[in-house]
Amino acid sequence: MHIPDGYLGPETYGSFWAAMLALLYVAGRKLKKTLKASDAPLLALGAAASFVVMMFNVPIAGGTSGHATGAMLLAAVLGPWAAFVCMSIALAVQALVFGDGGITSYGANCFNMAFAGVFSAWALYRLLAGRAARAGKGKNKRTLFAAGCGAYFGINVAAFLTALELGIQPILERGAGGRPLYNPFPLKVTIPALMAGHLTLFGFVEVAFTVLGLAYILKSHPELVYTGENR
Amino acid sequence: MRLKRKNLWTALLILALLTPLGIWVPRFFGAEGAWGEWSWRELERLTGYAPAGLKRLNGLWKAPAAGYGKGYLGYLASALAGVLIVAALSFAVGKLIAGRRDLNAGKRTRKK
Repeated sequence: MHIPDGYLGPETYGSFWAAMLALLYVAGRKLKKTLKASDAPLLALGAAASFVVMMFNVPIAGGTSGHATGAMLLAAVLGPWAAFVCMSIALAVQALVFGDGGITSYGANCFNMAFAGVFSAWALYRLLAGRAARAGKGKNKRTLFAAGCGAYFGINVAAFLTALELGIQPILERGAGGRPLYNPFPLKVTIPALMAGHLTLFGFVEVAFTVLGLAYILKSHPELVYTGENR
Repeated sequence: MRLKRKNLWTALLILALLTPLGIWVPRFFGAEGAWGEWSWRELERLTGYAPAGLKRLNGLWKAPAAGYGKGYLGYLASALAGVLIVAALSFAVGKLIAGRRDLNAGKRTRKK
């Protein structure tokens, strides 16, 4: 899901860079009102966890590989805005230091995984968990179920957006002779290519990571789960 | 400084130490990398051609540890270094955002 440099044309990557800068500004404003300095170690932990989990490539035998992102787990603990900022930091380090995802495409990658991935997961989680996430004791099963659904939904939304952004390139950007200038694969190739893996396997890896991680946190540090008031 | 939530940091460290599995498992199953993350050379090999714009932008940035280093040890070292960098940056950003709040907004929370 980490789009490298060259796959998106300037119209696309420019738009996403602009959108991301605006969204990060909004996140900063929101967090300034709620974040405590004592939360900083937890942000560090969350961002690092997201970075590490993305290194566990899971293969489809004989096919391609993919990985979980940790979006839902981060949102469940840090809240969606802090999760978004943390994942953006992890993605920046991946791009700058490890060449995983491009520089021009950083805005799009952030938008897909850190913004859309986090907020779509979060929306479904809140819808299904209702007040369970706040209630704590005795409601853990419902919270975990909601987080599992959110995790599966979030990563697939992110993958679908990635497929859309890649797939519109041959329509948007054409050079001499009508040849694509950037990503050459049309939507009818990018959507199945990305969604097949995420719907059948990587989505469930994300679910497993989220549910196991959140179950452990609910057991050892239930006070860490985000309620909308504690962070 | 006392490290809070030690068990969670330990869990993170264990995950980081296990990351070489992230390249071993795909190799074991004969799987390739992620779809659509090819360099222009790989793309050219796969499809017969690489679009001009893609080729031009593709080598824009030379990452110091591109591809998370070489081999299992390189991957492990990348995981540990990455965890340190990402954690340090996020910690700093967290402090930066929260900083002022702790000084003059602490009262605000207590008033409630």
